[in-house]
Amino acid sequence: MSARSLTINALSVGYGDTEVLTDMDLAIPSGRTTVIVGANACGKSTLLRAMSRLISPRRGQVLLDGKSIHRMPSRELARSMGLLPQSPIAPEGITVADLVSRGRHPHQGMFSSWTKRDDEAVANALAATATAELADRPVDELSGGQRQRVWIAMALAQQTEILLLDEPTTFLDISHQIDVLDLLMDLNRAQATTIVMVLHDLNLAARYADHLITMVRGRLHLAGSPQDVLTEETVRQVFGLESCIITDPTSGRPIMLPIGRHKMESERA
Amino acid sequence: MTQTLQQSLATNAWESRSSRRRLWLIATLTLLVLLCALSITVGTRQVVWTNLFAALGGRIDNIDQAAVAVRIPRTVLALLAGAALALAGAVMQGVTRNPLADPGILGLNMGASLAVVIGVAWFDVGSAYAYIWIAIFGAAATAVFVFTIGSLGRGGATPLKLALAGAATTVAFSSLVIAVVLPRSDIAGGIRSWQIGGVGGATFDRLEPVLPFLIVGFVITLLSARRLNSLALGDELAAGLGERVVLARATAGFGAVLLAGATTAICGPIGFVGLVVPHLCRMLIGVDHRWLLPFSAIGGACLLLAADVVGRLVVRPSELDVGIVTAFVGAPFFIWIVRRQRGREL
Amino acid sequence: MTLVRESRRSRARRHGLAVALLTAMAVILFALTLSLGQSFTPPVDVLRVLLGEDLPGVTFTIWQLRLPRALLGLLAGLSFGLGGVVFQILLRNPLASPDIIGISWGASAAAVFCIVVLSLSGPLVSVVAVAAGLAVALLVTVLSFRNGVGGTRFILVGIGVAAMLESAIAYVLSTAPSWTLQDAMRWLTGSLNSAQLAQSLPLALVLAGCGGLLLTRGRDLEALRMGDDVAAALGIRVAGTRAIVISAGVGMIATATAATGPIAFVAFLSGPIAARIVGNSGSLLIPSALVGASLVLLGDYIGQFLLPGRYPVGVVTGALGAPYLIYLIIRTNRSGGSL
Repeated sequence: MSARSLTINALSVGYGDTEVLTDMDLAIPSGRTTVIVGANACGKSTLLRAMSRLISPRRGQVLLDGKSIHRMPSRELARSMGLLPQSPIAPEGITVADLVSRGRHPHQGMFSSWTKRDDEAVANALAATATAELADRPVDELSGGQRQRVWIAMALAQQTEILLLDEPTTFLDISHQIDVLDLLMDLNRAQATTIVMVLHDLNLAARYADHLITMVRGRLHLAGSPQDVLTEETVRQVFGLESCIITDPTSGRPIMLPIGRHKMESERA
Repeated sequence: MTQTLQQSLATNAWESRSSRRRLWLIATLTLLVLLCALSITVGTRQVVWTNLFAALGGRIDNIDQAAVAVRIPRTVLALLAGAALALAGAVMQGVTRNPLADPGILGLNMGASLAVVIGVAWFDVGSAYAYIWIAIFGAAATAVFVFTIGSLGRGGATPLKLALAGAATTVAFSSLVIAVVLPRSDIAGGIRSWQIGGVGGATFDRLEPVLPFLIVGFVITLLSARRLNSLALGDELAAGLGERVVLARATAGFGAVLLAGATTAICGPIGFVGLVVPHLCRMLIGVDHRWLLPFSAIGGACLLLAADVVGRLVVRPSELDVGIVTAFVGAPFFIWIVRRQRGREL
Repeated sequence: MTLVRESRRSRARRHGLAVALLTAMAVILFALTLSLGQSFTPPVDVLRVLLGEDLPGVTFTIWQLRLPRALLGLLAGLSFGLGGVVFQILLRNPLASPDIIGISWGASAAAVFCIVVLSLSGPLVSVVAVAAGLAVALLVTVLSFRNGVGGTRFILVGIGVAAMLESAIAYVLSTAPSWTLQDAMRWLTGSLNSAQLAQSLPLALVLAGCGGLLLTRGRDLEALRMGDDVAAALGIRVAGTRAIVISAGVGMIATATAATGPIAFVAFLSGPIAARIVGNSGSLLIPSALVGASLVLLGDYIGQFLLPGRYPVGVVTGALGAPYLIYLIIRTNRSGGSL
């Protein structure tokens, strides 16, 4: 699979009078996992939406292989770039296999029939997410973790080189969060899929990102490896929080421990 | 030191607020008196002042005086019905914590209509008291029904679910009204009055039986103001403040149903008064129900009187039913409220 | 792999079966309307008359009375069924059907105004009704626009507009010099009582045009059921698809309304009933159109012959639809789901 390059050029986005993103310049490393973090309402979801053309920029552009995505035919773009929004809607009673096969939409013409390749793509997506045995179950009956796997399977069936995910772990308990993130890593490793996602848990972000991006009030703050980006200084600037950064003994990645006003060693003494 | 400063700031804010409320109270009462006068003097027939005063004195010697004599009960009815509907709307918005609650939108008025139509067509109900009881029963059953189906499922009774349940129920009941009335050629002519509300043709004789119901309704709803204030904070917090939530809801709701049902029994379904007036009043005097409820009553009387006068003037020499006028004033207002809500809250 | 293929094939089989069944149902009801009225005409005779033979007594009944009625019922039913379900899919809410959000009422109000106040008749009424339907749809869209059109805001604004239009219809009808209950019924609940063969032609043309356009968008509509974001990520131009689907849907609904009045609940009920029958085996568009046709034909038959006294079709579908509507609200609210 050829690596596609996704870059953002002097991008500004706004609604009404307010500007949500200002002059963003960003290059997404292809074949790697990029995680965007920031305080609430810093524009991280907006950035993801702008990258997938859900909103149009005021100025600047998003370039895929040097071409502006706003000039590309929408089906062509959808064959290169998939998006899993924060709260997708499963039509009532739909089965897992049916939902996953909806991901084949951009590969089909208005009247073209379903092909063997489509079946293969769906079967592979189900296998990769370990949801094959759920294929005939209605999506409404699944647990939160299973459901999220199914949605990821749908995005996989789309067979894109780039996959954007907006907080894929919200509403999941911790074991399912790890489960979903591990699954995304598998994909990234096995098929060199470029993954860009928004996460709100700073420690999980540092743990799974190859490339960590922090944002403050609609502007790019820092971008780089988690070790370089996640520092006490960064946490102070991005979240306004005093913290202590230590190293995770299992992964070697940085971990942020918040420092509040109470329960200090000194207080006890 | 700082504490006394805070206290005096709070007292000042309180005083300026209540003086503003007193001002508005005087203004709306003046408006009400003016509209009453207008409602008696203005109509399809121009009446000279001498005949007007003669008629107010109880004389019916010529056509002009007779016309005025007809307008007096009509004015009283518009005044009472407007006050009742607006008060019912304000209470329902408080009980359901839902900005779109209104006896018309939630289907109460149509429910009362359907009940009366069924009573007349199938059970030969004739007496005025029976009409009112049936209408109140219909309104109450509909209120319980719409609120129950509107509050099923995720998120409880959201404005959208309640409004949709009410609109759907209204459509359903409205076609049932037609289905019941159509085969009965003897009452089919009256079908219009059960679809569109009006205050024309009011007499003191027809007004009299409904008065006790309205009075009880007014008393119950006005006394529930303090409870509605607690309910506004949410069920859990209201219970934490010592309110018996279910009881508070039931009594206030019962009062609202009495008002809406009794009004529909004499006027037919009149929509949007209960929606528009409490919202306007909230903008003028704030969300304290102890002020909001009486204000809504006065405002509702003003609105319905004004709508009735307008209905008499715009299509001379015929008349526009007040239910049509309120729909044309109220629907744009409804849309405006919908637009004002933040997307997520709907 | 085989699992995936099997489950896809079984879905396709189920969908095919459901469509066949619904088609048979609509055809049978159509034939029933032609052959069974005040008197029974054997299907063979009906066929002979339709092929041009002249049978005394029968020819008049079929060509003047039953065929116009059956054809208009069939076409209006297809239009209401298809037009209704596309709105429900697009707004992801079964209650967002044209008869609840005001579009049918716009067409009906315009038709009433043309006929009662301007004394117009014929195709011009249809044209004005379609224009009014589109204008109402546009008005509702514009009024509900705030950083994009929110689905719930659209529905609520539609309810408000519908309330206003209903009073307008009631008022215009009440001022009509020859106000009859028949007219009121037609424009407030829908009726096939004054059906003429000439009415069917424009309706058939519009149905072919708009319906065809909608069927080519079937897949896009299916994707839109998963939310605008997912649909956009799958390569659908959401705003463009929406505009096309709404225009085509309004065109059909308004033309049908101008001919028969807003037949109560057909647009609203067809989609959910079709969804019960078809399940999740595939597109709802054709099944829903067929359900609509069956509902209108069946409702008209019941209203004419099976009840004491003659009721217009809208009263029957209204009375039958009301309990189902309420059941649907309860079910939808309980599961928090869509169609």
